[in-house]
Amino acid sequence: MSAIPPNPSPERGPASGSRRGPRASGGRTRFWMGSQVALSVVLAAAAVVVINALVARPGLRLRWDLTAKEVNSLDPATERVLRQLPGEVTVDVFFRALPQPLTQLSSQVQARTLALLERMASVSSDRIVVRQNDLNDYVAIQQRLQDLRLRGLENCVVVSKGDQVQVVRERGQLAQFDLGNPNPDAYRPPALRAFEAEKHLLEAILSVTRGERPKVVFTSGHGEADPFETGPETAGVLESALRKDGFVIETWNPLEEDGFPEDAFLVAVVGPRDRMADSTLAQLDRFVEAGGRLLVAPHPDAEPLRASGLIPWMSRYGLEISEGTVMEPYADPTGTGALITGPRSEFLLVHPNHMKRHEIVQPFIDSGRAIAAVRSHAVRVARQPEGGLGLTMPLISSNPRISWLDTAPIDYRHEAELETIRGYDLAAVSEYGPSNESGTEGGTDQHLEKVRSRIVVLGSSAFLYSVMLESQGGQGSSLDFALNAFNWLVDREWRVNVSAKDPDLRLLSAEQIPWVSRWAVWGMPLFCLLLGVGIAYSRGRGGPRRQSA
Amino acid sequence: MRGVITIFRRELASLFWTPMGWMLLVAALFANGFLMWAQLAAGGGNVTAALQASLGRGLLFWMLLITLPPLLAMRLFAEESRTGTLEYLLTAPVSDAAVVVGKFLAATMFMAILWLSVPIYGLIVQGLGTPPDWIALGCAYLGAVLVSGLLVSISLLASSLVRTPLLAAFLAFMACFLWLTLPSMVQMILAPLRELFSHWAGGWEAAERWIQIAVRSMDVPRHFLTSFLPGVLDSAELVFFVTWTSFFLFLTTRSLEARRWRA
Repeated sequence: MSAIPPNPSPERGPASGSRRGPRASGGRTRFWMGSQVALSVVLAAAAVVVINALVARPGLRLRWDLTAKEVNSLDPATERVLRQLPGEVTVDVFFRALPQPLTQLSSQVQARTLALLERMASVSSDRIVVRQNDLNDYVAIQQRLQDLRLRGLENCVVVSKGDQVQVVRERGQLAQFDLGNPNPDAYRPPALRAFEAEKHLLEAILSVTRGERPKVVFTSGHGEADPFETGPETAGVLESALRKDGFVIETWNPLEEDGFPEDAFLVAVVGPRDRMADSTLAQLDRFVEAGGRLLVAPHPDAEPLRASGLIPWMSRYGLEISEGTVMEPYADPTGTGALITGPRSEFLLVHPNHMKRHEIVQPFIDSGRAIAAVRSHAVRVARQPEGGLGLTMPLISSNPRISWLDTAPIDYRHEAELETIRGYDLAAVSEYGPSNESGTEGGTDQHLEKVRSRIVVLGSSAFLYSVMLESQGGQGSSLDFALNAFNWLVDREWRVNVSAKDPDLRLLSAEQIPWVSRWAVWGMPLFCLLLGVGIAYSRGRGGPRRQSA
Repeated sequence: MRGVITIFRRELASLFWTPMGWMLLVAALFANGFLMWAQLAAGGGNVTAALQASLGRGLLFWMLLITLPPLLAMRLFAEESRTGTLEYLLTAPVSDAAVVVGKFLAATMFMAILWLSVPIYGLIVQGLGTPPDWIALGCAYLGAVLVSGLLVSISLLASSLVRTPLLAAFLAFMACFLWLTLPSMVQMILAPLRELFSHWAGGWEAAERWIQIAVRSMDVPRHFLTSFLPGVLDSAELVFFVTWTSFFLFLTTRSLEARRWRA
């Protein structure tokens, strides 16, 4: 409480002789105090505004998701993409309540989607711009749809960047609804079965931001996995996923075509069985030396691998590929807990603690997901790039406590005298600039960046086979791993996929709901009423705790 | 501090020794219980959605918030001023700030007791075999108490400005209503202005952007619905409620002080 200030003009009291003196003096005092109060109010308001502005800044703001399954947090992989978005993306929301019986559920989904978009905008430092369109404003809606070159849309979210537009629908994409059963005899109310907004919105954002479509050339003619064929040991599923992710796919058969494909950004050598000609390898060397990107995945079997000539070729890049296959015993399916060996030993699940910190696998480490590897050779980093600046490093490894390298012929058994138990690297990456001898004298940093080479060597082409990418175990991890590798190779390391988040549904059965009605609607208010009446009665009888002033 | 506790106990007791407090509580519990049940039935038994509806997602929560604090606060200053007991209180050996904080805590505690019904619903559904996410529910409860505290502080200010309880309740109701519906109001105002200033395209867009940011930062439901209610504790949202509540309590204290030199 502030003290009342002294009268600023005490000499002007009644004794001064002026008849207006006391009133004027009182007025000045009031003015003085009023000004003081007004000033303190303004300063307090300003302080509140400044404090709120400061604590809302990204560096100072702290946020804890306290839900059991962190349903309010974005997947780390999503956050990673949003933080590195190359430009502004507009998200137009066209929501109207769905008709019965989905009205309530739809309203929940729409509220959750808006909250999710708000979080995405915040994480992206406002590079995601969210526009909520009022569907009752017909003229404005038509104008906006015309801008987006769409028509007749509602209950959807439209993600756009320049000419690129993607529509994400509420039913089927943002959420999966169960319509229930309206039959009174077998009534089941409608329910929300899955909320997949994060996954679909991220896919749409990635789709509109993919920019130029880099060309990937798959070598052919040496028994490689064909990207345009369907079948278990082809790269058909990979081709489809790459195309969806914005790549242009071509094949190149050096035995039939003379020239190297123009504007190829990346060459993929996936599982050759036959000898690759020295001239072909020399062309690929020149391509890499000029800043081209290379993905090599040797055939999983020892004989085709030896025949293809990939082992000596990769050794020139400081990478040693084993002829044997890395094995891990697996848990006894009868539940004894024992580790047993057999053909399934060639299926490895690489957990995040056996991954190195690199852009390709970082999303897996962040979100604690494993990568499935199968029939993999060991890929050892024998030496670092010579001459130029760069680094070659392993990417993922097998479990060092139980894995061994099964030497040919493969028998799936660990022979202690020959095969050491330790961790074996299953993939490696190499990134380096041009060597000092390669004629870049006087080159600027920009030039160096332009000709910087990147190579990914996978332990086996089985990593990329359709049978692997289509399988339940591989769908969530192997495909993401493959896409990450391709995206890193073409300098788009921020593009990754995420799986849908568990909606953490907690449901009561239809039979249990009336119990809630009994307790919540009737029981609690009645209890309060009785308590109030009891207290009133007690007071009426002059109870000891009468209200005191 | 002792003064605050004394005033707090006195006001809380007076709330529960009068029929009005119990009537408000019974009516609010009935309505909230009904909403919980209706949401469970309509949402296919989704416990999280039903608890959130009772604690902020439903319209009833906001209707209770703009009616109960004004009704509780109208008697805290305006009624006492009308009956003359406020003068005694202000001459008692407690500071004005202690009087304001004590009354504020009592009214907020009443609201906290009202919202306690939702964790009790949580116990009921847990008894039926579906435990709710307790930590998230606790976070939502904290948010509900903070929002209630903010609106109680606004209502206290209104109550301290006038001597007629009903006028105080009306003023507080209007202030709470206007603040809670501020974003919609601004959108309604901006729509015709947009056409009016269409010739000033770039300048108006920039001005509108700033207005939207300002309004967004003052959007009370958004601060609550996007952080506390879904189970997220956000330091910025916490500071928002604490600072604005403190600001209105400060204004109320100044308003009480002004009574002295106005008299």
